[in-house]
Amino acid sequence: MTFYKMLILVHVIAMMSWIGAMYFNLTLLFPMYKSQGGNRYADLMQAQGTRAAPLLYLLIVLTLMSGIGLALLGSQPFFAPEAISKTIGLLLMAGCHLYGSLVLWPRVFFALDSEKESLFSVYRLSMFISASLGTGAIVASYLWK
Amino acid sequence: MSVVHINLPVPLRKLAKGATSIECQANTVLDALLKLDEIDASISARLLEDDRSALKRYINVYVDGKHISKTGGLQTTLANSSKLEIVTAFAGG
Repeated sequence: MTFYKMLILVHVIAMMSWIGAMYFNLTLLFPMYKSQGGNRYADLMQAQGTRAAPLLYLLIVLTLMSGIGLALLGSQPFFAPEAISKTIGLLLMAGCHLYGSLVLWPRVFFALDSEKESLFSVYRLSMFISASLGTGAIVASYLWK
Repeated sequence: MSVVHINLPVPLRKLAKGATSIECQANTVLDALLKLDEIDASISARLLEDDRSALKRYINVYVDGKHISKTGGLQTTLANSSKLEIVTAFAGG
């Protein structure tokens, strides 16, 4: 396997795992947590948030670095529409997650139980935006081929 | 009583009318955290379990750079000019 093909593999697997995990959370995990109700819902969401963070940021770094590597190896010019749209999508996705980690989650941990529900709604919304942007980036990469 | 400085995390600063840190008199970490209720009555409820026996999960307190789990928990004795940092666990997703 060439280095180029290895980078493609890393890029695709990291991106699919990242987006797949978000859709899994949004469609299966979070509704199941919510059905537990009250404090149990908050406990499960917080446990998920702290466990997901290291893997999430590993996947972001792998996607970004492998994407840069592929561009450097000439899969496409840096300023091609496809590359620009994917880069903007990726940066906006990373922005959603950084907002979550640096702003939203500290608020969740310091919130009273009665305040947590609305914060989790914002968290789910930012995850939905991130997943949609990622899906858009994948679709764009096929449309421009 | 020792005079201690508590650095407030960003989410709690709004409750403290924008103050980034406060100074108070306290003997232990628990005393110091309960003193925060003088700024806003809900702060200790945000930091401590209902029976005030422990910090809430995912909330950490450092005294002069040392985590209180290594120095006696909430009963850690504070020296004059001790600095308390309140931080949360890192999360994302």
